Amino acid sequence: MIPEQFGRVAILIALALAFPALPLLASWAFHKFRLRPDNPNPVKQATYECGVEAEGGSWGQFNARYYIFAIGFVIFDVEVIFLFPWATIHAEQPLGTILKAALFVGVLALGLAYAWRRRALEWR
Amino acid sequence: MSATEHLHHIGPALVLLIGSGVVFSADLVTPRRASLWGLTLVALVGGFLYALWHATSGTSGEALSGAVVVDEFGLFFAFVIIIATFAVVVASRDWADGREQAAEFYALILVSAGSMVLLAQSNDLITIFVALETTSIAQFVLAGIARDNRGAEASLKYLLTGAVSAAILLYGFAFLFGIAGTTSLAGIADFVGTADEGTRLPLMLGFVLVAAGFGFKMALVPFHGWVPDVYQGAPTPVVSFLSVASKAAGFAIVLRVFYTGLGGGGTFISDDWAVMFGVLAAASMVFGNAGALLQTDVKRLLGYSSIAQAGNIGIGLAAVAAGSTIGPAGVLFFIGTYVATNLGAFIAVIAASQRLGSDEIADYAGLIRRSPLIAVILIVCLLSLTGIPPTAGFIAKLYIFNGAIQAGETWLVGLVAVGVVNTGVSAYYYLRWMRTIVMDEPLEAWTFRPAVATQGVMMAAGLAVLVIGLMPTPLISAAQRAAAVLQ
Repeated sequence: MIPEQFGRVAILIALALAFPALPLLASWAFHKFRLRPDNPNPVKQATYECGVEAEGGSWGQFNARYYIFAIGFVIFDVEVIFLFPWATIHAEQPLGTILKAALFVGVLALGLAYAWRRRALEWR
Repeated sequence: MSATEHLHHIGPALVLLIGSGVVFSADLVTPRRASLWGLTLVALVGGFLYALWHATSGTSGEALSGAVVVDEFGLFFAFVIIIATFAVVVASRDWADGREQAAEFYALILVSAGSMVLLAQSNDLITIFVALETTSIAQFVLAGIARDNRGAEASLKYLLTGAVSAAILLYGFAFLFGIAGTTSLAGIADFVGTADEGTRLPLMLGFVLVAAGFGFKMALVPFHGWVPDVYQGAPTPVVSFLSVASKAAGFAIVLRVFYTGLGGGGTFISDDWAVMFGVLAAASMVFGNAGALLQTDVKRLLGYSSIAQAGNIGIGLAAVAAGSTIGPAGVLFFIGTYVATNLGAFIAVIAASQRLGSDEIADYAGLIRRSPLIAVILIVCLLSLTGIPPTAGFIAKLYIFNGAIQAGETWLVGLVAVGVVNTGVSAYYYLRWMRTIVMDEPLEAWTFRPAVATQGVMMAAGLAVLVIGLMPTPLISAAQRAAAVLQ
């Protein structure tokens, strides 16, 4: 029973490792056997080939005002975690659970309204 | 039991918590500060009436699967906490309405008070932890609500100490749960009643960690490090709330966990926690009073004085553990009088420091000529903190010391001797402050008087100190009834 279950996990881990490793390995092998051209340029070497250009090192200081958005995000992120189990049972007892979830979301919404009113959501 | 009945059992706390939400919402729709103050008072009166309803309608027993219990003990503290919060809110109107964070101040005070009421009636380790953390987190924010450097430092220190204490407390709870197999206090009491000597060490490990966690709330040495800095740095109205309501709630929950859970006198573990609180009490009195001797800032002085007073209550806890029958009532009576006394002193300091613009003892010189009312209330409360008759503090100390001697242990008599010596030491710095108020020449001539509402609560606190001192019987019998339900 246990080896069987963990065997599946082991297969998953092997696949998860192989998925990113194989393309890298293939690219390296193609380069090794001169099957692919090798002419790098700055744009090609960038970490991301599209989007905003990366600037400076990742050890720089981040703007502290960002924390308010981070807190807001975490609150609503956690709210969703609580709503998933609720969603699985709310069909059985429709009215009571909807009221309770509404209370829960309502309190958080009040917090959002507060943050909004206090101009915490504006980038200043 | 229906859902409404469950909610009815936590009614007083619920009224305060909902009131906090209403204050927050009101701030979003109206810019008027006066309405926030009024709403806060309405919520507190509502909570008080609900507790009164519990007391008169005979509501009692457990609810929410034994997580909370309605009994005289919880109601005693509900009344103490709500009345203290009411007085603080009335007295801090001038201070709070002048700042941008008025709504946060009122709402967080309500959250904190509501959770304390819940804490006093909680009957399960998990409820205790949740209620304790809710009240603490609100207080961390309150300490820094003025958004100045001092306040930020106080808030951060309070937060860090509080977080570490919460972790220690939880570790202790884990031991208690691990050995007793239940989080309910009644279940732990059953376990302790039937357990054998082999469980002694893990139980001790558990309750020592729990005492360390609660020691932070009670401000017992060596868990007192945050007190002077937070008392000095945080706004005075917040400090007055911390020093009365928070302390009362801390001792309430300690008494419930230790007295109900571990048992006083009879159990094999009771001698251990008696000695533990005896040591903590002696250390708190000695270090608290020694620290207070050197202070020139009134808030720091009151901070050290509150550590020393916690030591006095600690004598009561040791007596409870040693099996003194009047010990628990003594602790409750002391807390009741301490709340009235410290409230009077702090409201006088709030009123004085706003006009004096300083917290230095030297600036209180000749206060009796500049603001006679504030000076008289302050003197009455300082006399009571010292323990001089005919104030309430005298009866309270007498009651606590008497309980300790009644337990019949030699070392407890020694502890009382330490307490008496420390009363003498404390008289030095309390009387020195009083001398500055009465004898010294005022630095400036202009006189002042606080707002009418502040005068009202100040006089009420001062009168309570004197009335309890002259006529202690009603509070004593209330304390006895509250203590009787614990065992």
